[in-house]
Amino acid sequence: MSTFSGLNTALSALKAQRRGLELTGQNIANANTVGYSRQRLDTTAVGGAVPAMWATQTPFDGGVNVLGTSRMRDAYLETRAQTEHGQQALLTGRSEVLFDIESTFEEPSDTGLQARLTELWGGFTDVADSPSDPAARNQLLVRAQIVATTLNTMSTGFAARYEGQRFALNDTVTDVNTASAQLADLNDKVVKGTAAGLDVNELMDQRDLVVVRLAELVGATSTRDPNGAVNVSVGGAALVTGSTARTLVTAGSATLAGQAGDPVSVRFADDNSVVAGPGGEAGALVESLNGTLPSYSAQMDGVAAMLANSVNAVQQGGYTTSGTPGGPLFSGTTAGSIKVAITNPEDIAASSDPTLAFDGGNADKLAELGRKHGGVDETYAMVVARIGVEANTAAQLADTQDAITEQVDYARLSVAGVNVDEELTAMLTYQRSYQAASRIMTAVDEMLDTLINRMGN
Amino acid sequence: MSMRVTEQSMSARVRTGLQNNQGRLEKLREQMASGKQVAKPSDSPTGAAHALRLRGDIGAKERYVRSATDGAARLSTAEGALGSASTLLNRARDLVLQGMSSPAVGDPAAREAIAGELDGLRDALLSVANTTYLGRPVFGGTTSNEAAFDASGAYTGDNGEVQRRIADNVQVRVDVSADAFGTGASQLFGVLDSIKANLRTNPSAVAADLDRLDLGIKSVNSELTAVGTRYSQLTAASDAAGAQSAQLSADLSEIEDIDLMKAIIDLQGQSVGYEAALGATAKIVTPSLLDFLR
Repeated sequence: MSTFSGLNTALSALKAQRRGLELTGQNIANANTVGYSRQRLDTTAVGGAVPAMWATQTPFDGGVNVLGTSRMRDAYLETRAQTEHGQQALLTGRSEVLFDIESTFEEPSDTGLQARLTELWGGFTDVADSPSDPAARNQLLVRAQIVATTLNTMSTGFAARYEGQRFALNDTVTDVNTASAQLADLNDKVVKGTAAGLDVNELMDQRDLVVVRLAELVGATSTRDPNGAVNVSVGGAALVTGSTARTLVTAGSATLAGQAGDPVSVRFADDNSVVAGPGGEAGALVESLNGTLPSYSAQMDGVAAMLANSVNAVQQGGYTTSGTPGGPLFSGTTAGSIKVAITNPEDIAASSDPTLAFDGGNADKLAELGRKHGGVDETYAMVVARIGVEANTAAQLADTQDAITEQVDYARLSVAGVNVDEELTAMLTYQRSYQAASRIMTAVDEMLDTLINRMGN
Repeated sequence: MSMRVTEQSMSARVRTGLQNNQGRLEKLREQMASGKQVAKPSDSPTGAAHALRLRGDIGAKERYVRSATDGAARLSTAEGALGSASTLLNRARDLVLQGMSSPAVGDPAAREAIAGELDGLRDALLSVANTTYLGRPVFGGTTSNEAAFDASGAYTGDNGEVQRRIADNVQVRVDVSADAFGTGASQLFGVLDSIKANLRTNPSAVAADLDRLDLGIKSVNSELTAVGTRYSQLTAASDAAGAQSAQLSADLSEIEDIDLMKAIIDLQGQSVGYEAALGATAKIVTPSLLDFLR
């Protein structure tokens, strides 16, 4: 045992306590940094070595050894967080998309399609009541025009929403590519840094953030490689493996009109294979682009076709003021193309008898279409009820998922987050230990002083 | 193991709590501002569907009220015309009786005077028969002509009927057929023309004319009764549809509109809750060990 080993022991203590104090400083500095995991100093006591053979002296050479710093993070909670964040992004996205579609309906209101249809039927009644009145006929044409325009506007609304969401999908996929490239880069640094024995805790924190981001964007899932890398896959296919990232691209029609013939998909750029069932934000957008939007657009086309066909059929069974059979009132059988085909108010086939110019029997039949069971009004009300139910359900699911995600996040923050009280306590501990180690050093020094300077006088 | 509380988890919880609180407050404010509790279908899918159907129903009832009111106005015009016709015809009958009895029956000059007066009555009757409602002759069916009878008393209208729908599946005829003025040989204008001629030249034939005149008067009077019945049917239907429309509007308001009193109380409660949460947060978040270390 060396004469000065006591000094060395005190020195190792001073170094370790200072390191601990610095780490406390780092933790406090990052108390509010998103994604930061608190770090802990790992130390071990020096000594307790197996005695050498034939050794006569106790080989005591004490002190404290700093092994490194470790990140406080629960791997199970991290995996759960990825899943829940991915699910939350999907459900929130779905709910947002449905609210957006719902807003095209403007119901219930005094300006929505239902109100416009009611006005149209009222217009037919007015013509039935005064078939000879040009004002009633003109008013009817204007109201028919407004109904057609309202349907056209809804159709344009669907098309615009499709295009908007198509762009949003492109942006989302660009974000995915940026994030996966970032992940590959961080994997590289972490693996190399770990091999070189460097402190990579902060890099790992950043990497965890990127993995959660990928889960949110495209529903990616992760696995941990033994060498320290995190591999990410989406829809069962690898997206990032170690330090290599694959690029995603979007494919499919840019317009709602072309969607049926060219559905939207997210694909891998290298082999053009389709990403099966993407989740997260991208998943919600793909679902809407291929399913929800085309479906509601088609349902409104159905309403427009029913309106045009039923009105035209009755109109063609009646007679104009000049006694000729009526022509179609509406042309076009989709919400986008429906138009009023008649310009001359006299051409409204109000009469049910070619010899009676000012009869209103047929106009009354037209007005009665609004009361028909299973008619246009009922069909439209069903579409509105359907979007209402879907949007409502989606919002509730998203709310529930929000609560679940929050719970997991609290649990993560509870493990990984910094508690200032805790850090302050640690700070006091390190501070006092440092002072104590200094005292040891002084004591050993005084002892040696006695031995060296005061002896032999 | 109890959960560790960290600065971030605490602030995350506080943030979520306050945000939820504020979200509810915002929702209530929005309802107060718009006055609607169902502003979009997802607020209440069944309520929204119901509201759409109610709007359609209200529209239909309002149409029925309008049609019935308009029909009643048209019928009352016809009723007035028939009433005048009845008065004119009774006066004509008196004159005919006068012409058939002495002293007028033996005095060509007196009969001539009576025939002259009947001439005036015939013109008045013609004008009554050509009464119009909103420019259309009420006894002319659905004719596009200006008048139902021409100067000779011949019918120029058509045999169309004017109907008004006053309820689902109920239509009421709101015009009066020209048959009210007699048909064929007992058509009143022909009868009056014949009476005039006979009074002047052949007084003995007037008795037969009188029978035909009586038939005509009977026809006008019976039509008058029928019109009265239909008129009351129309006003009753109009009242009923109006009452239904009001009831449906109340139902619609029940679904769509907020209960103002309840909304105000809810809003107050929520505001107080939010302020309390803010106050509590301000007190809870600040202290740490730092406040107590020297």
